Amino acid sequence: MKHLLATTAVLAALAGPLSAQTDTPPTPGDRPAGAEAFAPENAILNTAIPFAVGAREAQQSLRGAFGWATFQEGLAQGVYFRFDPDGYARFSPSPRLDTDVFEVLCRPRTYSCHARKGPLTMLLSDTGRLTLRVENAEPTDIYVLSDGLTELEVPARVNGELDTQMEALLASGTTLMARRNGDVVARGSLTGFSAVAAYLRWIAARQDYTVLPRDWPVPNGPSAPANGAVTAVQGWAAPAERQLSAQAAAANAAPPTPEMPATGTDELATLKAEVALLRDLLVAGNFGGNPGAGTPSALPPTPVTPATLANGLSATPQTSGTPSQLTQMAAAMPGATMTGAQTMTHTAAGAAAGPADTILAELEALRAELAGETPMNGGAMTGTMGMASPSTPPGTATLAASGQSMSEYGAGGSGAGLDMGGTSGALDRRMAAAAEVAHLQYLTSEMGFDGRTAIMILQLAHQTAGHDAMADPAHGAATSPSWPGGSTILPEQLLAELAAATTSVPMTATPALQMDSAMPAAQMAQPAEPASEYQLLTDYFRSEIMPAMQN
Amino acid sequence: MTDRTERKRSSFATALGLFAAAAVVVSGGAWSIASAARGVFLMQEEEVIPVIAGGDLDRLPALMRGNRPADTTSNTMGEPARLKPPRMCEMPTDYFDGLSTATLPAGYTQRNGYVRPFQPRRGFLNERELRAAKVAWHYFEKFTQEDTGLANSVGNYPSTTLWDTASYIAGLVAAYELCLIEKPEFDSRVIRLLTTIKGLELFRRELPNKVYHTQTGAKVDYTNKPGEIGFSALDIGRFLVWMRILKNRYPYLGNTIDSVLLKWDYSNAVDSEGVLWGAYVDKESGETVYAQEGRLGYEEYAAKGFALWGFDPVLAHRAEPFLTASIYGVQVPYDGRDPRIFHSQNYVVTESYLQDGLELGFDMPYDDSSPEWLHSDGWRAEFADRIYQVQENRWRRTGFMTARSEHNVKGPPYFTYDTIFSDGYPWNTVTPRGDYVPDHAAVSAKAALGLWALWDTEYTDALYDAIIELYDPENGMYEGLYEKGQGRVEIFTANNNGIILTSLLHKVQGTILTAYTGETEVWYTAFRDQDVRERRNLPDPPIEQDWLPALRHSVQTEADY
Repeated sequence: MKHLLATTAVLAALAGPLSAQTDTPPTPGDRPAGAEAFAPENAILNTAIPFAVGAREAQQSLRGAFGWATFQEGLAQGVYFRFDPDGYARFSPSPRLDTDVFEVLCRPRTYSCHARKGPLTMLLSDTGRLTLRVENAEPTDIYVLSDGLTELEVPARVNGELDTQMEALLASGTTLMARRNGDVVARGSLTGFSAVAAYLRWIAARQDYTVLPRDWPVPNGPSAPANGAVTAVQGWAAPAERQLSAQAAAANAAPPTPEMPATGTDELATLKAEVALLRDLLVAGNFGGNPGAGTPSALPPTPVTPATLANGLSATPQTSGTPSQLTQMAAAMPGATMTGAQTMTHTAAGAAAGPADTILAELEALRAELAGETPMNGGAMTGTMGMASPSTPPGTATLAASGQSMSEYGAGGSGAGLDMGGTSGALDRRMAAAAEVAHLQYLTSEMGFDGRTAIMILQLAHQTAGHDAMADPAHGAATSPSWPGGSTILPEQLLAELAAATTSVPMTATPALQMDSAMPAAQMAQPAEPASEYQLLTDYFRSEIMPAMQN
Repeated sequence: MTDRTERKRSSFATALGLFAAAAVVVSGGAWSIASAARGVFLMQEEEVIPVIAGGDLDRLPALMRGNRPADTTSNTMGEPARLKPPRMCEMPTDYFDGLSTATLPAGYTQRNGYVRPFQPRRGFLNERELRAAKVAWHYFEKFTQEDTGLANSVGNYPSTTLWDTASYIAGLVAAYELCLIEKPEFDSRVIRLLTTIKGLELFRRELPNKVYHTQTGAKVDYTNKPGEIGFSALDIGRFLVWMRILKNRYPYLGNTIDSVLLKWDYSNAVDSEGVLWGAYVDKESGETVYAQEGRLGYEEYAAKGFALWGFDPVLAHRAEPFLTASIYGVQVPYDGRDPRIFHSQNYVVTESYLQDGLELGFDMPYDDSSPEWLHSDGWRAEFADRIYQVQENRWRRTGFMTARSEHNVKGPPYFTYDTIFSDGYPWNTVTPRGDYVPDHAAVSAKAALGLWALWDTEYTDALYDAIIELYDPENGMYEGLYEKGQGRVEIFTANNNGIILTSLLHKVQGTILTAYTGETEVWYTAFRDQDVRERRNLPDPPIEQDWLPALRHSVQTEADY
């Protein structure tokens, strides 16, 4: 027995503190040989936190002196599972967990886990990507997905780090085979693949639900659900979906009630979802004049205008007769003119008429400008939306809108932003540059643009803002030093942004959030929703639609 | 002719005279007896026998029975008590020549006793068995903690339960009786152990915590860190069995043993219905939760442990509710409580039946005098025969050598219930959380040698050959032999080695539990002047009316397929 202890001690020393994921699967020798396996430091999971809706923590009927007192069992994505506090888990389509079993083993005292089933081994790489390894595979092997009747050949990179598409493909398959010279040399069932992948990510994320797939039926929170809570439909939705549906319900209610405070992760997920939706819509918008050519099939084949954008954004909730949050937010905009209000009430059928034509014309001009990478002509940008050009990555419009709205609200606002603007004669270039850097960082890190595109977007934003400032008499004297790219920087805009960043919003917040802090008090008085929840979209509408309405 | 006639007349006269004399004698005798009887009866009606307080005729309330001995079959029926046999090294060479054999046919008796169709193995240990005994004892020599006297449950992992401590006591008794150790070492070990157990911090001042650290004696949780889990009625029940064995065999330890047990509070362990209750800590509230504990097999064994100390676990001792599953023609009994509702598995394994047979002889707790071939707890012996038979049948039908029990395994999942039947499946090998792990099915060493000791058959000869040399001289007997050819279960435990020693001791001495030879017990007389006995639910010496009922269940007469 001494050698067991010695082995355990050595392993414990090698394992060290909780380490990040590694792509080296633990070997059987990594596990303590006996009772040492149940040392509390080996517990990496809290079995009271359900992995999926319906999962329950249960007590093990232990007869001996050691063991894990609890485990969790449940059903997710068609497979039954049980896992222990040390991460050891089994996934199987049989409730007995006896056939077609994915077995998950974790290196002691770490979050480094891998799943095994036959020749297949799944684990997460250092970068958090799912990696599949097929035992005894050779580079010349041919991989085939089979469902028993048909076969689909898949690239050899299936034996390695998987991208999203490959992961989705494997999740839809039933069996993965490796063929060599026509003979099947490895065959592994993929039943439970997606559930195990989610489990591995869940462990690596310390049981954080945000890493689970969007359609994963996670419970309401880490604490045990109250009686009957599990059966509530709301509890089955993903956090973002729950939030959206709650917002829809709140929008339906009259008078509207304040939203439940969202957690940071929920808010982030919501914002990301909205940005993704906007991105899709804007991409569709680029092809709006040519329905059917590159337009996502889910979108209506109507010319995309600000009005249709609003409708498009609200499409999903409206199917159930509920106004979207975006529509609500747009309607609640304090500065909305009659034209803006009319735009908000546009339907998809009537969206092509009126100001939309003007905006489309302006978009064309913008595209031409972007394509030529020439400094914007102030007059040409009057009332221009920040619509992305075909060469601009999705999401550009949002950022351009942010820039525009900064100029508007910075100029029209009062308070800190203006006060600081009053000292614009002594404007600190470094502070302005810091704000720009923050913007740039946001564009590259959050939005995923490359550096060149991000700079271009910033230029576009400032040009638009500069034009607005020139067009607005109140802004006439606010011309600032020229930007290296040829555009101008408005001191008020930068100061407003800076004030927002230094007063209430952390630097890591989105530029849209920073802008709203600088909004006039009257404009900040949103009647229904907390401003922080939807400022990004508000600003989007403000920046995209208001200029169009003004024209 | 005349002489012949005269002779006939003379004979007739003699006969007539004799008849007349006999009639007179009989009549006189009858008259005398009748007169005497009448006198006696008339006198009895008038005679008054004074009832003396505390005397035999005084029907004492239970609380006042403290100073009288518990009723057993030997002192109520006048049968010779089953006394402790001599140690193996003190036995005469012809000791086993005079062993009694069954004089009744196999089956239930009128009093619901049971005569088994099988015989246990009896005799001196041969060389192979003695070597196995020495190796098994070496486990305890190696893994007993010097400071506390507690033995580790598993190898050098310093943790133990009362169940495994009972296994250590079993090993200690066997080692002494098999002459592997002498009395000084036996006394030293047992007194150190009992002293430590008396000093153990109890779970919330009730009963011993389920797990203790063997080096410090501190109560710990399942990860061997300071904490408390609750108490196990089954563990305590087995511990009580061995406390009674120890006390009855070695009366000089009686006071020490009594003082250990008197410290405990049994008020939540046995209720008025005779149900055994365990306790655990609610994870959310931290409060004690009491839950019925035990399923068919273990529950009755633990109940008998409590009954040996005067408790009345009448419900726990009954087999009901139970069902049967037909496996290889044998109706295997299993607990009828639905695990989906009660969240407790109904494992059918060999171990608890073996312990009942080896330690208690399948006898009722009050039975200290019946011959070894008669089992007064009849249905237990009959059920045990079924448990044996189904395993032999599997061997004969499939070739799989089978001796199923719960056992540790090396590596995940570390512990398995290697069952005959559970969760609706025969030959189900599952982990404590319910995973089916057939690769961990094994011939359990303790089960194999236990079967070998109690069933002297061709099949157990095969088991014996498979197991008797399955040892590591440095660490003890291996846990078992994997059924699918993965080799030995390379782990060493107190329970396995303790039961193996018990099996070997049974071969030499028969049923381990012997009769109590003393009179009153401190266990029953202590705290009579206080309310402690009521508060802690300490029992009073049972009288015959308190005995658990001896029952029978329907016997399977032919194979059922």
